[in-house]
Amino acid sequence: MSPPIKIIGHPVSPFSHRVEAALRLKGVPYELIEEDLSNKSELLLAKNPVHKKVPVLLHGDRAICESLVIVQYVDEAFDGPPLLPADPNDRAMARFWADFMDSKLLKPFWLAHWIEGEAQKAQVEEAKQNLALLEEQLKGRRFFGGDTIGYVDIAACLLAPWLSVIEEVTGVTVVDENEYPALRRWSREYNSYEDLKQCVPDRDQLVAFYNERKEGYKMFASAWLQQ
Amino acid sequence: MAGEKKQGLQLLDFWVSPFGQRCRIALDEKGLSYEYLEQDLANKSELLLRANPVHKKIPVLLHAGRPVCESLIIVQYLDEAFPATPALLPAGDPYARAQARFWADYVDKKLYDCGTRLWKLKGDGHAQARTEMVEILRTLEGALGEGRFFGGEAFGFVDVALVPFTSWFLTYERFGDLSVEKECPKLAAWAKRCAERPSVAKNLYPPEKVYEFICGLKKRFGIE
Repeated sequence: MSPPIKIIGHPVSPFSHRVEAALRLKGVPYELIEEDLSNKSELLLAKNPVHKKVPVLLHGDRAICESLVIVQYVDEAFDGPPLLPADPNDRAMARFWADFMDSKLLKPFWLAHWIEGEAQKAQVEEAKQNLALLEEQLKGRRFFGGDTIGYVDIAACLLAPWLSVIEEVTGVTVVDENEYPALRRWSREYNSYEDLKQCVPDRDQLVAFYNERKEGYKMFASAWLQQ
Repeated sequence: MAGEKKQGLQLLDFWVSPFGQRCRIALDEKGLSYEYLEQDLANKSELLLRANPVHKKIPVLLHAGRPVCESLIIVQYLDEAFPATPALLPAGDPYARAQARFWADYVDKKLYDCGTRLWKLKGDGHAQARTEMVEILRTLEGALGEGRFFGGEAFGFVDVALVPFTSWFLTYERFGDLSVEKECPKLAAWAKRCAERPSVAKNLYPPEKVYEFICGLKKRFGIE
């Protein structure tokens, strides 16, 4: 009998969602401990002293940090449909594209929506180049993983539940339906995927959350641009 | 060691790259022979651009012509494609594997960038980089704990991820006015222990050579 699984996370965080998605796809029950992102708890600081961030997976007395490390742990520690493909080269490609999301796409994609002026143009340009690479990767498949959601789809979840929310809150659209038809279709498929229904965040709640903190997110984006 | 057959492995690399060295060390630890192809990064080859169109960076592993990019992904690929060779990620222990991935990711996120700021910046930026470098090294020493290696008794994934940077310690020390031996004696001892391994001794350049390389870069970028 496996010890209880808990996630220190937050429904508004796509990184936290990655972990929920992985557990749902494996059919593993868990409890989400919702962290106050503006006031970090003793628990979070104790379980992730290095980065002090969500998500953290608690599995009995084990703590695992970094969303993609956690997703790979979930794939290896639990039975259920595999999240990564079987072939070593395909696995390397999946890891590559998941890493691409975080190391190349995330920053320009985020900044393109939240900052303004001349600087925004450069971010949009970079985001579009990287989005084009992802569009090509879909190659007419339903998901990056093929017929079912897998590791890369989970890694790319920012482009699913969060995409139309960010567009509505900021009034900016980068992932144009005409330029990225496969990505937009993928996004809709992800959002309506049966096995993930219970962990796809409520759209109205997400919109309200970002709207309430719009100025804060704009300031954060300006600071991130300078780094 | 396998015979003369090269298992169709090629490594596109650049001599001083610690990321490339991770792959060289992993290949040697596994007893895998390969063809080393030094790349001219100022004038990137068609082969490199075709093999890594997304990042256009080394290292790239070619296995029977199929490319694998990103050093830690390459090391994991070698574990999975050659399961009969000594495993670098602990086999059959998902939690130990997760810990190893976490710390290798920490090295990737923190060390190289901080080191670069240490030799590039002056004033407040430099002071900040120095403080961060000491913290990073101390954090890594904490992760090492009392073990011979990061994974415990066996040289493994995190050791491979970090050991190339030991050649850079001298550079960090000189530009940061710090001493790894003094700040992190256990880490310094671990570095010495790793240096005794043939795979490491063969593939790392002497620290003075790395320092000389960085001084050359500084001149080229006009940083004094």
